[in-house]
Amino acid sequence: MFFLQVSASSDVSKLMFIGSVGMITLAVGIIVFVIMHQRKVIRYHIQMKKLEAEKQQIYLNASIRFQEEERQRIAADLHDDAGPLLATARLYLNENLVNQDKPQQLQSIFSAKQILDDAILLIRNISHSLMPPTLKNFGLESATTDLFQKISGSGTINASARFHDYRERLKVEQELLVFRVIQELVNNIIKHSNSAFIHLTQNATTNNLYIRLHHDGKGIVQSEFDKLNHTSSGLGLKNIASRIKVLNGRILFEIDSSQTYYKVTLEIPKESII
Amino acid sequence: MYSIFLAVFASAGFITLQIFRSQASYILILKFYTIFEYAVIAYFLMSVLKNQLIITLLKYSIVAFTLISVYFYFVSDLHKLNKYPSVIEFLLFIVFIIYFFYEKMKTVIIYPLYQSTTFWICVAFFLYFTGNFFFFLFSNPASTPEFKKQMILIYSFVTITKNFILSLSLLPNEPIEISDDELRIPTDINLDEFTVTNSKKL
Repeated sequence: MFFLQVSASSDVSKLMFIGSVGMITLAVGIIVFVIMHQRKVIRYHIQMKKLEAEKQQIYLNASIRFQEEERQRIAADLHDDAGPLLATARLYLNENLVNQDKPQQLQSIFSAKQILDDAILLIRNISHSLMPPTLKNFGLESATTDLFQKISGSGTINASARFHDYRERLKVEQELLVFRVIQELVNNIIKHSNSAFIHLTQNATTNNLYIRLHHDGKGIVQSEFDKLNHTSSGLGLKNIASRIKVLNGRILFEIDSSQTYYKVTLEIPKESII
Repeated sequence: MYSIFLAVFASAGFITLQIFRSQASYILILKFYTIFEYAVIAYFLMSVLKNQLIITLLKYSIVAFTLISVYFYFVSDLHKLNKYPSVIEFLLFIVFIIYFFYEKMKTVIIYPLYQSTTFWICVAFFLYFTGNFFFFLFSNPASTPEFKKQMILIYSFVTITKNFILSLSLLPNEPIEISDDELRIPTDINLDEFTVTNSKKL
């Protein structure tokens, strides 16, 4: 009432009163808007976290599925290839062998020996596909260089790798995971990008190891990688993501500023959780 | 720091006005108060804002505001409080605090803003500056007693609200912000050195 009495007596007083009330209302409005908007952002953030957790579950499932597929492949290799070979060798070395004449005996033993050699080679190949011997004995640098030399040797694509600072080896389990990620990335580049070259560069800081793959074919950027990861297909990319997660590392897909090359960068902590 | 600053100036004002009965000294203290108030609040905002450009602007604005206040000190009557430095101060802080809210809205996504001490301090000052803006804009020593009474009422209401929110602002326990999960590749490591021999794009 006091304000109304005063406002009637003076225009300035009225203006000041309305102005002050208006400003306070506006200020309160802004504060309420800021709080409400930020609450909305937090809700969105929580929703994103939930989606991220679901994504992790997909990675885990993909990893389990991949493991199962790998086991099935090994089982199939052993059953379809090693099994018949050993069975054939057994046939050559049956109980009738002692009743055979000398040249026939020698022939059977020679054939059985050849079949056993093939079986040994097959099992070695299966074993190498599980854990490359170069990686186990000489480390990630040698295994990667070896892989790139083999790819380059095929003549279809120019592949090279350069390690700048790999004096300190990662743990064998870490190296295997990193190597598998590199293999999967290279495999994808060869299969889908139609590029003419792949180059791998490695470097390190005190805490992290960095690996970058460059290629000049059709690549993807981070948003596309994230999108593909959410779809049900793309087991290879999910495997990459789950391995990176196990390594507690990070991956970045991007295009070079010159728009000429695509880059995939891996960041692996030296002190990993595995 | 703000409490100490207020206590010092309030004591000085009280002593000059009630003990020495010197209106000129009281006005001088109020003029100094405006300059120091600007510096203290600008320093607080500098410590809570993240944008370097705004921080630099705030830093230079302290010098600029001091110069403006000194200028108005010399051009205005010694026995009268010039309103323009305060109006400039209020306008600048309204803008800077709105920017603070914008920055917080953009960056803080881990915890609600009302759990933040700095947010409530800014809310208190924001209400103080917006609520008193028209009071300082229309303040006139030659006003009628009714008008002065109304001015004092508005000023008191807004200032008490500010001090109340300021004291409450110390209650929330601000959580520590967690950095985002973005991959930041160090710029000093060489990852792009390679020779291309048969690129299709060359």
